[in-house]
Amino acid sequence: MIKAIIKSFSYPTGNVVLRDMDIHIPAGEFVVITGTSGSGKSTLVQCLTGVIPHFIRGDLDGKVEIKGRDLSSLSLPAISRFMAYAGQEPQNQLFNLTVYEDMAFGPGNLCLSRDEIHTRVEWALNFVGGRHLAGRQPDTLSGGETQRCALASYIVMGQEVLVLDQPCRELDPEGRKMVYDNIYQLHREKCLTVVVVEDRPAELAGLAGRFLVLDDGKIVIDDEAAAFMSHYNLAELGLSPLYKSCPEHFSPSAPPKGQQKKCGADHGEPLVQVEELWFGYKGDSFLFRGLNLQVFSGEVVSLLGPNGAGKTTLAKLIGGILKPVKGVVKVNGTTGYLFQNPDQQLFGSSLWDEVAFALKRRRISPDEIEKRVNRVLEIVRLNDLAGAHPYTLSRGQRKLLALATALVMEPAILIVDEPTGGLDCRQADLVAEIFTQFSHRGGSILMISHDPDLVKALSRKAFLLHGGSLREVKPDGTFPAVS
Amino acid sequence: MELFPQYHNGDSWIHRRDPRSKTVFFMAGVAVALAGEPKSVTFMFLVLMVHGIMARLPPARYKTAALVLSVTAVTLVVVQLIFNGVVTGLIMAGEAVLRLACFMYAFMQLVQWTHPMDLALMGVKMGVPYRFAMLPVLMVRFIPVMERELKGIFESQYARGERFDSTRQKLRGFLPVLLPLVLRSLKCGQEIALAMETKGFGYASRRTFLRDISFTAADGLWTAGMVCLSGLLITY
Repeated sequence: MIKAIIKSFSYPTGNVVLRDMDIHIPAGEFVVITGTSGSGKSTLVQCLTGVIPHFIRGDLDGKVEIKGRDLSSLSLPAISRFMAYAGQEPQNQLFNLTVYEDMAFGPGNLCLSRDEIHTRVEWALNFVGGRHLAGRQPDTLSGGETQRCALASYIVMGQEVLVLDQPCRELDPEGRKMVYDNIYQLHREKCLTVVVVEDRPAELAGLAGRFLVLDDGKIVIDDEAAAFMSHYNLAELGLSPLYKSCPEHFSPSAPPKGQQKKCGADHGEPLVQVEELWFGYKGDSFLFRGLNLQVFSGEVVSLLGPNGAGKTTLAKLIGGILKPVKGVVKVNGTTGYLFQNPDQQLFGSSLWDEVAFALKRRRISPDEIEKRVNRVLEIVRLNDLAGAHPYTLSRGQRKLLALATALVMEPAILIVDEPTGGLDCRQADLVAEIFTQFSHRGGSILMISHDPDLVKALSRKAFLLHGGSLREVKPDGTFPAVS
Repeated sequence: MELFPQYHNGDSWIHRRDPRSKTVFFMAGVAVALAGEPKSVTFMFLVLMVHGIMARLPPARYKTAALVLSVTAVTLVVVQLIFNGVVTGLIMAGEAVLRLACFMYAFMQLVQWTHPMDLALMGVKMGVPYRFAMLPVLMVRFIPVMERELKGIFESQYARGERFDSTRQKLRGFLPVLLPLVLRSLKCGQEIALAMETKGFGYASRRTFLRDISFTAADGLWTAGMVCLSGLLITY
């Protein structure tokens, strides 16, 4: 079905991203492409789908064929008739007035009848659990809801090959399982060829037939699923986070000596206090009705809940970005905020400028700025790239940079929205380590996360946000079902 | 606050009209605003207002336009006062503002009560290939993307301690983000273009639209009425 021989591929900047690849994917196979951040996974699937060289320029020495046809001789709309490519950024894949119209956009281009389009749209929205979103404007969706709809807008076209780049990155655990199970069912029933890029391949172990592991632009492992899962240690490959295997680093109960500070509800004033909070977006009913929350010094509090429950909205209210309709939000100290989508947070012309922005605006002395920026870039391990433009980084690196912009202000409270989303496992480990150090120094963290291992490793307190109210739950790595 | 008005979903008599008759209505408003005497322009403005009420468009949606118009009005008054004295200056500035208001109002009504896809369909019915007929529609949809990006940058600045309570603070925060805003919007535009192509846009010479348009007798009457009215107002 797919045959790719790629001797090398480099972007116009000159760095070689892919090399020495010979991939053959037979029809009806379910393949997972995995690897650490920056290993070339997304570039590879862009080559496999014709996005490179048709849309993204670069020097491709090689050939990709699908069903015996050279992709370079077909246009992207022509390729889309038999192959779906859902890219990494769901935000800009929906561009119509309503979700329903976005679903109908692809089938409309295939000249299907209206009845057929309506049937397919209903089916696709059910497929991703997004039927209730049909009438919504894409701009009003949460990150997870956007990803569900973006995925559905491709699957609705009914192609025989699905190439999906991290299709469940923003989804809650229940949603991830449902979508992956449905993709597997579709693959079995219609004998579809499926290629999925996934940073954490373990959850696809029972579904995929084959795993390709990339490292530095090369395929280093190409194995059957059973052999891959039994022969290799995913943690050693950087494909499974180490939160659990380093309790001395990641247990909040064991801070390093000399960094211990009192933490917990019994120790003084809370750093974050939310009392009787009421909030609703303009024109909508109230999302929160009398919500209460306290976060104390040194605590890592996790905020759990399904996509669209209002977690990001609550975080923005605490961060002061949104104003409550009624009630009190008190924050004692500077707040650092990490957005779910790092691209919403970055606008500087270099990493150094980006991190230094807030300090320059506060008229801190140049020497102090230099010292703080360099230190923070070192913490997130991006100091070698200080002069690069943020858009040249991988998504994981951009997330770390966004975290650096929050840390540089030396906040008392960190509000982090999906801090490990889009990070590979090594980067996720680094983030967990940074958070642990931060909380041991007395800082508080309010963390929205769908990463059960991270929640279990870092939090001693967790709240489930559902139906506009908060309920305390155990941060034991399981996500309470709400459906 | 919306910087640019988007389609306002509704089922009023005006909403149900064919996009061609809505376009004629808009053109009639523009023609009178440009060529009519001040009294005619005032009358046309009232006609537009009545239609706005009939279409049940929320007045809050005109906030940004009113703000822009106020700033323009002040500039016009100052310029006219300098060059034409107090009485003539005020009259001329007032007339210019009235014409501008009429033009803006007519345009805002068109985009708020016409579904973007109906405008594309109108182009298709007139023989324009759908690839080109849909482009203006998608360009209009790009404006909220820019708004979203701008909001994102402001939120990001806010999260880094910037405050936008006063106009001075807002200006101070806005100037450094102009270039990044353009860059980010271009990046978004590219991603949208890629998404469109990978969804088959432009492959076939025709496509299926979910909506349909038809020019009814009511459309004919409304269009004829507006053409006659604008003709009368211009020649009056």
